[in-house]
Amino acid sequence: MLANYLIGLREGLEAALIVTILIAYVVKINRRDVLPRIWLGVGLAVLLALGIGALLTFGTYGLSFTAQETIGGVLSIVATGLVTWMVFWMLRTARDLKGHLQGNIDKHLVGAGLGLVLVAFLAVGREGIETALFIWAAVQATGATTMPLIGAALGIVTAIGLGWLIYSGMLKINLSKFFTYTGAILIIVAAGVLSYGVHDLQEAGILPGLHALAFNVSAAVPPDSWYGTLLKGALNFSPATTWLEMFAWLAYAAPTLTVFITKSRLGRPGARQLSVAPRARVPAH
Amino acid sequence: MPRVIHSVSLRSVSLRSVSLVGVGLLGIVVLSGCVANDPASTHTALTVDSSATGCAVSANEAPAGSIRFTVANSGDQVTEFYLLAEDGLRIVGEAENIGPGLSRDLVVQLEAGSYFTACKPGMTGDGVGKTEFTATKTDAAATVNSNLASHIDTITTNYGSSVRNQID
Repeated sequence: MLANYLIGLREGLEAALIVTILIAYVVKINRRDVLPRIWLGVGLAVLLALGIGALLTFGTYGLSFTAQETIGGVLSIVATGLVTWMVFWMLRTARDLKGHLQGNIDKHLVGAGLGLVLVAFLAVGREGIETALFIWAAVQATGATTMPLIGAALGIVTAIGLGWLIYSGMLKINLSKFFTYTGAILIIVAAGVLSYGVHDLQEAGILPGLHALAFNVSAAVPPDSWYGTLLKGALNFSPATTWLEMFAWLAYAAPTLTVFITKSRLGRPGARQLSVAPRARVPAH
Repeated sequence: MPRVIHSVSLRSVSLRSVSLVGVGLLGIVVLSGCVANDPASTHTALTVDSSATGCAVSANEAPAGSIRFTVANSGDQVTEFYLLAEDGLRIVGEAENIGPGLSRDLVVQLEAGSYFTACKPGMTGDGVGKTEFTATKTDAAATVNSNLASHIDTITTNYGSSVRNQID
């Protein structure tokens, strides 16, 4: 049961972290009215993944290994692009918020309507088919034993619970720190999603170098341990990482973080002049 | 002000094209990646027992074509099942996230040739129970597609040796 619990936790965390930050952000800029769009994306992804998973498990056709890995890989890479877009969109909105350009925030949110649905959809859906196949396998086993299904469900519930804890913790951070921290965390998470996608495509044989490992710390961080699970679920850290995965991680994270930090510093001096008195008007929750 | 408006439209255009490309790719992969689940249509069903130390496949040869490996995990760690190419490295098929007590299917379309089966309890290391597996030439393949089959064999052999060359 513990092993199945940890799979559920890992797959759940992979989806929950990005959605959590997205929701905390929207609440933080006092735009709860766009929350339904995020939930729409999440709901669509869950329904679609469970639906496709059920069709593949019980229906006439299965999905070949190569196709499944390719879908996971391509969606992960697209998700990285979208999360990056989201980080810089947040940065721009944060700056407008500091300068009290409410009109600009509204304009950005109008343009970002589809974007929010897509980010939420891909964050949950990119590995949704694999998760759904795992869940349906647990459902199929219920004739013999219900322990795997209970374990998997508890794991996913724990992931959602952790997401909620992170969410309430985030709301307590002050506004300007919040934007810097969440942006940096999202970039690290997105870098992990990208290298995960590269690994899927390597397994599918589309990208080379599956057996060329940059490092292998599986002995110190076993993938089936609880800390291995948390590292994999939150940051997509793989204890056995290929050179290509590591290269993709660095090639994405280094320049993106640099641009992000530069841009968020640029926004600061102007904001500082304005920030003393008017910031009190920004709702504190 | 105009700069902001410009960047909004630019962003939504690039976003839209990214999502279109994504959805398109997904559609192509889903359609081309479908394999028949139907057990009746010349489909070989094999079972695999993945335990803590072993990886017992119910047969070590089967006719080329559609083969379903139903992998049951009788160990107490999460396991993975691999079908590897003749070189023992390239992954032909993989079933992962097989929790204890679970059973998952791997369906593959195999050309005639030599393969390896292996399990990876604990999701780490080189795996256990690596065994040779042979997909035998079927009559249908021999009569209808004899040229194609030999052609594929040649390509497979060449590919295998080129991979070996790269590794050595």
